[in-house]
Amino acid sequence: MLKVENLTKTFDKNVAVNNISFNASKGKIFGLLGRNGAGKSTIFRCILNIIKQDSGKVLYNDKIIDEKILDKIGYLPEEGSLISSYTVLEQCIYYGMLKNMDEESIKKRLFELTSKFDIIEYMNMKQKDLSKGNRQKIQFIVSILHDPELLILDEPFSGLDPISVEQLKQVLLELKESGKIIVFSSHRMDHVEELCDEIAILEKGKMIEKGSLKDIKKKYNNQTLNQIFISVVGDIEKSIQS
Amino acid sequence: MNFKKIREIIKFDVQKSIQNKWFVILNILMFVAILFATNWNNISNYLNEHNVDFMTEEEITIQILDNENLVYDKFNEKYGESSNFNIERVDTNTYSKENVPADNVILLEVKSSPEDIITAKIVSKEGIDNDIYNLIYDELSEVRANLFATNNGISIDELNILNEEVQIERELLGVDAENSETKEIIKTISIVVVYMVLIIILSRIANEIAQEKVSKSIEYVLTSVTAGEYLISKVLSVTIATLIQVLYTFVYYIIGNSINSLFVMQSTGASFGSSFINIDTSIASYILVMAAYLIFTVFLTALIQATLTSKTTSVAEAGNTTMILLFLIVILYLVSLSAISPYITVTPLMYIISCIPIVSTFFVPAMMIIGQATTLQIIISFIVLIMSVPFIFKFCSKRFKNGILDYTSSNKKKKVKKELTLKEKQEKDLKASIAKKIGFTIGIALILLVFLQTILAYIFGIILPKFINTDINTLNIILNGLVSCVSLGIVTLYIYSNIKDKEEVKTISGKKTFEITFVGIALIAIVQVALSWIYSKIGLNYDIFNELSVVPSNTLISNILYLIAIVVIPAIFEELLFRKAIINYSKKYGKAFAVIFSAILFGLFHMNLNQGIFAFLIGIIFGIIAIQTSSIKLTVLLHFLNNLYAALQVILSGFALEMFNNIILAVIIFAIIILIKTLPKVRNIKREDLKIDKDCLLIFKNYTFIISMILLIVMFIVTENFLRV
Repeated sequence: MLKVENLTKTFDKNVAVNNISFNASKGKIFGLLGRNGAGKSTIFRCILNIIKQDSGKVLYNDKIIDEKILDKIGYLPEEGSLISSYTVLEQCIYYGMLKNMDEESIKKRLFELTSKFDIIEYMNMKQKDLSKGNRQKIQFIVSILHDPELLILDEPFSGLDPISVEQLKQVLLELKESGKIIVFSSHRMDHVEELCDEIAILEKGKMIEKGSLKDIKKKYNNQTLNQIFISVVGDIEKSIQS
Repeated sequence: MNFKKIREIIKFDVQKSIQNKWFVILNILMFVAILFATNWNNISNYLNEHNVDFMTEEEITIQILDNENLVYDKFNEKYGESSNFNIERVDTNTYSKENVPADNVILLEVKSSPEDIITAKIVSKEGIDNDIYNLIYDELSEVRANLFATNNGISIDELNILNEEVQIERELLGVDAENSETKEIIKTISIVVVYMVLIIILSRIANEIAQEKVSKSIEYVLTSVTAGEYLISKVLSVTIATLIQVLYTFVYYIIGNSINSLFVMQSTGASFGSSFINIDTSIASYILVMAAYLIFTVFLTALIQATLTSKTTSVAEAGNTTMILLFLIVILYLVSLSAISPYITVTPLMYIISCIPIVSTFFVPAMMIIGQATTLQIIISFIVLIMSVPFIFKFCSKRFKNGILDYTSSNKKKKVKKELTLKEKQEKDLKASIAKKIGFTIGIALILLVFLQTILAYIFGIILPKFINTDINTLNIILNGLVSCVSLGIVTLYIYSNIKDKEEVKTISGKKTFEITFVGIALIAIVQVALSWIYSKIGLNYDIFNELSVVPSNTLISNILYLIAIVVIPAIFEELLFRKAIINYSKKYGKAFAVIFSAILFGLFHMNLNQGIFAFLIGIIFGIIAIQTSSIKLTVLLHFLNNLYAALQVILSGFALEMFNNIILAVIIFAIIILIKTLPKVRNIKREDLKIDKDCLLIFKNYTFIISMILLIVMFIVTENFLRV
């Protein structure tokens, strides 16, 4: 179980994440929703130890996240994290190695995953020659290459065509079935509505709504998530302005 | 530290940098080059044995015109039988531009002369081979020496003794002083090798880290390893890859050398490997010490390079940091090269310097090979080097960790005096960036102006005399006109291409045009008179045109060209640059600023105090006129009249000059009357026209602009000094 407790992070007097707490548990998908710059990526970076939080704790199975646990986490960064002059294969070997995998198992797993996403022919192409959607698929493959227990996905659907979105959803549901913890962020409410069991809505670093998808929908008279998001975030913005 | 992951990263990186086609191509080329270099003696032997000589394949005919028979017999005797030469005797030189000699035919004309003993001339179609020239030179020298000896009644041996150089024998009695020349060469070569290795390593590491940072791949990497682990694995992998390259090169050398010794063995029966055994022990230990220093220095510099790279946000920027490091290393290299030599004793200061890590690599081995380093010193400096590694690593990895995730390019440490709102801050940034661009454009324009004037004067100075057949004065005038025309034109176009705002067009009534023209004339006259009075008091009244030797000769064409170069071209092109381009470009900081700014540049442009002060004052008058009428027609006219007056003072003389000056006087009096008449109108100047936007100061903060100002001021002082002397 992933536990985030009272997480706070400021950059130069700007509070990016303000006292955030949530839990994500096995076999469930947790969705973090929010506008651009709401603080989603910062939370992920704190979880992954890339940046140090000012206060608060991140616990995985009641342990503070260290190097050993980091190897069990899969991460899909929001912005392209692929080195454009590397081929897909080289990139996957590099990243797989960083997660303590050996070359043979990386190649085996890569073959399996690329055939699932129909991109097996791109294996030896340089990443700068791939389209944005295909790069996104590679990034996703990289994040699940080492069969992680906890999966953190920052905007996994960006740039994908409808068919690829369905493929990705399918894979995510399979992973959920197999008992992984999945946390992802998105501003596409339709994807969140279909996949998530629990959600949290962020605005300007603060958590303004949290709970299971069902409860929240009930609270707002079974409106679509899109409508709920617009009304909740819109209210906050109005109150800030006044 | 997770050593398994570090090892894996190193393995991956080293493999990647070695298993690519460019590495293979480079190595094949190096292999071939080293094979050729080590076996050159065999190759040249083979070529000699088989009479392959690519130097002089064709037969060369030397026709000798030698009526006194000074050299012909000698040449014929020596080379007449040779297959390469064909010696002929001729009686006259029939060659000219219309009748050029055939290929491979040389005419050698030799005469005796009272002063130079003999003089010679070589006529050929194109340049002749250096070998043949040297051959002729040697023969002629010998003949000349013989002639000199017989003419003066001394024997040829006596003459040779006279010609010999003074023999000085050097004896160095120090223990390690033997082979000092070889050692000097080895020292230089080894430092060059160190430098080459550093170039490869630093650029490689800068490139790799910048690439990972720019692609944000670093974010993913840092979820798996810490920044410190990443740093050390990158540095080590690049170091190892380079060492592998060094190893390969060594292998090529051994292969080449072995093949060579194989041939040598065949011909002389020498034992295999004798070339390795024959190495001087001091040289061998030097190479070992050098290698030890090299490994640590490479590691440390790579660490520093990685840390610097982590602070950058693009590959190009990372390249610049490499340049900085390499520059510092070049300085170290040059210092060590000049400070350490077998003929200079090492001072205590140098012992201290040689203990500093990284610096020691350039000092200690070099001192060692010339026998000026003690064992104690080597040990101390090496221990200091090793001890410094953990400190430097700690220092670097801390900064690397902060830098590698920081994508902001601005300096955060700068304290902001006042809390600015986001909008104010943005506006300030925007203003600063505009000012920066203006500063850069004008700075580059001024540098370009100086550069073009220098280079064009040089180029035209060579080209013009070949096409225009005239006296030096006229040539000078044409040169002057062409240079200022082209350089000012290009610079004006450059600045103008950067102006985006359209200028407003004003129409001015004929009466006003008339008024302004005469007011302008009156002001110029007043400035002229006032300045010449002041100049005569402080000794600035020298004649510039005479000093710069731009004076017409006494022909009509020369005079006309003089008028064009001194009157017409400056009037048009200087006005275009200073009154149109620069004023329009800097107008956004206020009209007053534009006028003063352009006037200062106009003054500096004249490069001497006499003209400079005048140009500054006139620049202000012209600037006001140009900005008020939104056109440079009037200033071109006034500039024309001003220069015409000065030019006619040079051209005219006697009665004509007197007449001309009287007319001018009348015009000036008339102009002053108009000036007095219009003076009351001047009062109603708008307040806003005098305002200067404080942001204009930002222009002067631009580096390029500052450099261009330094250039102009230095050139100004130099020219001024030249004119005074």
